[in-house]
Amino acid sequence: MTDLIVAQGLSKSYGATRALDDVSFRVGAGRIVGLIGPNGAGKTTALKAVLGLARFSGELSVLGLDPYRKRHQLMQDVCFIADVAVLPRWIRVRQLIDLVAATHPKFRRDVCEQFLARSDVKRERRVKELSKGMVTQLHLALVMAIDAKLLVLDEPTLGLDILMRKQFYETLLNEYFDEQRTILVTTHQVEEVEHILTDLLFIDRGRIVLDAAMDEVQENYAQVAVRPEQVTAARAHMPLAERQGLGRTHMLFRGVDRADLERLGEVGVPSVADLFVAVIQGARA
Amino acid sequence: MSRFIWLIRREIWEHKAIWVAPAIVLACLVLIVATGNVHLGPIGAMDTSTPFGTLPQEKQIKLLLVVYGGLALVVYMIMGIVAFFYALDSLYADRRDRSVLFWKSLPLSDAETVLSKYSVALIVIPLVAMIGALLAQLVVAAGGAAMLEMAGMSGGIMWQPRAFLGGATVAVLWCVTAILWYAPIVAYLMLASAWAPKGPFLWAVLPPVAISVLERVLFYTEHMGHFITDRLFGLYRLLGSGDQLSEKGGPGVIRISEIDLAGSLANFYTSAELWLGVAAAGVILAAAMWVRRYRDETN
Repeated sequence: MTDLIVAQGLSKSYGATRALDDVSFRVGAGRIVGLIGPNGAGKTTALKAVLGLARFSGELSVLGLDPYRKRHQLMQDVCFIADVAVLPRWIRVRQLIDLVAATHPKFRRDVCEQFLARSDVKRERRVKELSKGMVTQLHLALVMAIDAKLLVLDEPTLGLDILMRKQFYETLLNEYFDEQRTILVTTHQVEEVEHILTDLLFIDRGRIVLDAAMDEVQENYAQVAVRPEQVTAARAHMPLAERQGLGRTHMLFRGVDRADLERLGEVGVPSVADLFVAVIQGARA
Repeated sequence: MSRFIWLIRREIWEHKAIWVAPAIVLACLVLIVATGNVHLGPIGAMDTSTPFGTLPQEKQIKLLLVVYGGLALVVYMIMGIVAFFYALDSLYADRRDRSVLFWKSLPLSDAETVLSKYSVALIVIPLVAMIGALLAQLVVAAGGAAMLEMAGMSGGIMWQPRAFLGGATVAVLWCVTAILWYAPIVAYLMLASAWAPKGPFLWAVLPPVAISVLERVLFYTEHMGHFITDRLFGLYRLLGSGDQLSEKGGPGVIRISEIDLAGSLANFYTSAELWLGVAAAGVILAAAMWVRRYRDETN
């Protein structure tokens, strides 16, 4: 497996704030990586560095190129959707497709037209006349028609209703993703991406606090609904997090033997959101 | 190359003023001519009581040159304003609405983007102005000729080569010279547009104005003011028509017919000021490209 992105010791400061503090990570080909963190954790800064939009110190290679120096070359193989506001508002749908077709060597107009045919997006409309959902569909149609190696999504579903958000990720997973493609996504709405991710990168206060493949997470972490009489025994296993629920105490454990956990209560796979809260709290403590 | 043409088309889609402004001027002219409200008399220092048709031909030609030249001047002034605001907006508007993130997600270099916008401000807009000016002259010539014919006089004077071609020459001359002369100013406006955190108009206009005022207050000199004025209007001095345009009084107020065209152009194209300006434009444009490329879009 080759690494598409190799970041080594990335740092970036804005005045006194360190947006990225010695961050290192790798993204392998064919993975769907969720870059997850609270507001201001450095997610967007990290993505901007990957896309060549921000200066940083440290070493970063994306598809073997230095993104800051070779941005326009890199963009032949990298697609990028920020939140829905970035398509130019004055442009007509038809003009936008013409422009991308004329400027992007890997754009396939027929594929784009196919996707658009299924939506309500009219060719003669201007972007500013479209609803948020339609703008996202349009952007997604453009991006899916580009045969790129890496797709970077920065809060792509911000401001969309729940149906649109679900549809967005379904389309992406079913019709776009394959072994040749890699996706790096940031989002607040962890629960809508967790079932599509293959890898997790948690970032907090400019540092990576968890870097693991999903199957590793499922092996190492467990959520247990602890029966009341077992709570003291369970605490001896040092849970990462604990919360009360309908007559049970839910505890999150790492690296505890499964047989031991099953004596305490029902064992399940923790949700990414629970894991996130536990890891961030642990990192800050 | 075809990609570059698409980038220029994009600018024209976005900035409709480039063709709407001259179209409105022409539409107004057609309307004025069609309603018969063409008053050739009051322009210049002409005796308005004398009907145009009864003037001696020499005077008619001079008067027509004023009219044709004036039409070109109006169109160029309007397009100058369009170019000014276009250049100021060119590298700022997409940062304001964040669509710069979309443009930067296309495999286009920032140099290419800046160059396409520069070409629109410096080549496309002057060319549109020239075509607009020529069409305006054509409309007035045709309208004037029709009116003279209806009054029972010969309309041929409107097409008299010294008058009509003289006016057309002025329109073409402005276009070919303005492109080079205004290169540094357009580059400067685009640098301000690429750099300004907010309000590129103030960022572009305030520094030179502030320097002129400070200079005046502190040193009682006006070098900066003169420099700016000369960069804005020195083109006419170099072409030699400036003196003639500003010559006061008398029906001989404009002697465009007497401009030594070859001499003016030679004077213009061999002046050090012009080529220093072009060199400065190159440096400033490179700076604009640099700012566009390396400006941190993280926010």
